[in-house]
Amino acid sequence: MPFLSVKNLGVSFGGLKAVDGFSLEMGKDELLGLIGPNGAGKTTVFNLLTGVYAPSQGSVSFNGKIISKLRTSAINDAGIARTFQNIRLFKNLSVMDNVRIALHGSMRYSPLTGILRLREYWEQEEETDRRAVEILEVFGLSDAKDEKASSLPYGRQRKLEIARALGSSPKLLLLDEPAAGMNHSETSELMDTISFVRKKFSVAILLIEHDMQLVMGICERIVVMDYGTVIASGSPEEIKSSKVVIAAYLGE
Amino acid sequence: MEEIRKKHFRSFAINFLLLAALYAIFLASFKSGILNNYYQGLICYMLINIMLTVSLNLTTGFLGQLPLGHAGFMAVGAYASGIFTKTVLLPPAVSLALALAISSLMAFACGIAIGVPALRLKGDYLAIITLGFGEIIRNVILNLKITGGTSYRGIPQHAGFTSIFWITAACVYIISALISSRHGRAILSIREDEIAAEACGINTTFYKLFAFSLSAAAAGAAGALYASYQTVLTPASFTYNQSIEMTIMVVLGGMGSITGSIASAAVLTLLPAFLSDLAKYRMLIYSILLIVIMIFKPAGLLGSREFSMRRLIAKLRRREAN
Ligand SMILES: Nc1ncnc2c1ncn2[C@@H]1O[C@H](COP(=O)(O)OP(=O)(O)OP(=O)(O)O)[C@@H](O)[C@H]1O
Ligand SMILES: [Mg+2]
Repeated sequence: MPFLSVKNLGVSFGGLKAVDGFSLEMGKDELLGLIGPNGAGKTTVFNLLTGVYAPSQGSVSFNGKIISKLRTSAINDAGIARTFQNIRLFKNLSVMDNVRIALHGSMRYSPLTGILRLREYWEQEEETDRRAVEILEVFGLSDAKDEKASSLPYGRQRKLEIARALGSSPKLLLLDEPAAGMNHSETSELMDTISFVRKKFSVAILLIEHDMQLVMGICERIVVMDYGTVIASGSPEEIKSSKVVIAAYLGE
Repeated sequence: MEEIRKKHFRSFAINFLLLAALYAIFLASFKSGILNNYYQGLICYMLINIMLTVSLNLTTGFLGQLPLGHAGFMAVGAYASGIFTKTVLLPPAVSLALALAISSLMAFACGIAIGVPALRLKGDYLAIITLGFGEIIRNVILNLKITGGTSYRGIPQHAGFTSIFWITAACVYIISALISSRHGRAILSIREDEIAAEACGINTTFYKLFAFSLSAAAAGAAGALYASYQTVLTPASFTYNQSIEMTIMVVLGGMGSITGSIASAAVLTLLPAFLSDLAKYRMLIYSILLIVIMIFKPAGLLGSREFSMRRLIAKLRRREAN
């Protein structure tokens, strides 16, 4: 059974079929790019995979388990974490707390243990802090750990979102336009970080991106979407020379 | 890491000593007659209001929802405790302890019953449903035989300054300790961004219900203290005006600041009593205060800041060194 298997997924908003008959298979250590013109339905696929929207058709199985009926938090428990196209940080909380919240599921102590500050509370909180700092260091954010998330500059907020997603120890990471709004050098740095993260956290990555430098640079395989469905898939070279893809981007 | 634990323990010890000192001062002034019975009653009333405000802040400031039925949960607790202590005769301390347990459990159960449907709705709907709940409770109390209609008398006075003081302190401790645990952070994440919270593995339905019912339980316990201190209950003390007043106290102090809740509950309870001429205009003054605060300090007096004795001492030391 494939690691991630999406079959015939679909959802519509009013009369609009935002995703329609979308299918995808993904291996356990793949770094897969998902591209397509604006409004193709890429973000909606992420929302379907993570249970933010309930699919009206199709199914998703992940790691040997059907997840398409689960709620978002249960899908995260199953091992899928994500970032958002328009950043959704816990703005008024500290950088550290943003990551700590993602580590919630790795702690086990009960409310009573927490209130009474029993030993388990301290042990698990200390372990959480250690891991949170470790993740923040990967993104060069540990110096800002006590700052409010909203006080970070845009580029660092994007990084913090990835850091937070890694907090829940996912097996699959969904990144929605991680390089949006970044300049050339920031994008190159981000590419290195993504490759590093993939190895260090041994996580599969599905990545939506408009920046072709990034997508072509790090993805082994690319899936192209248009009008809610897959129109092509293959290696970066194959995609670059595909007539269908070029037509879709030129809007023909 | 050991150091963090030590620091926490130290600040806990400092706060506890401070609290004990405050308690001793109050007690001495009651015993010596510096503060007469009227003031003792006022202080007890203030403490109960602190408990109500801090617990309401859990849902309003920390969870980020706007319920308007806190007085309803308080009423459930008050009548449960009143009826229990009056009908089952036990030694005062045992009776009070059991009454607190029963009241908070009953309010907790009501919190779950209301929360399950209400928390699915957002903003105004939650406010309306909880407002409706408060009014229903009040009418039920008014019409049931067991609650004595317009007034329920003869409740034994088991609660006094000492028990009210320490139970309020315990309640404040529980809520602030909860906030800085993983469960509290889960609650905060819902206020910040529900979808992102879910995506981080937080079951937002569970934690919303958890925070809301816990806040209801604390209101129930406050109701029990109120009943056991007042000895007389009337449904008129639990109208939606009371709920709104509690919300005003939370908003003025700062949504998400426990210190702010304590301060604003204290000030808004004591002020009208001292300026008794103003009592008539209380709601008017509240409204004006609220408008002024909303214009100049929309996050409330303290925003989400907390007072810390340890930080204050550190600051003073630094100033001395300079
Ligand atoms: N919640 C929603 N309600 C109504 N329509 C929606 C909703 N979400 C997405 N859509 C529509 O579905 C279509 C696909 O949107 P989606 O955001 O998935 O595109 P995308 O491929 O991510 O585009 P972009 O590259 O611009 O981010 C669009 O036409 C969009 O307007
Ligand atoms: Mg998108």
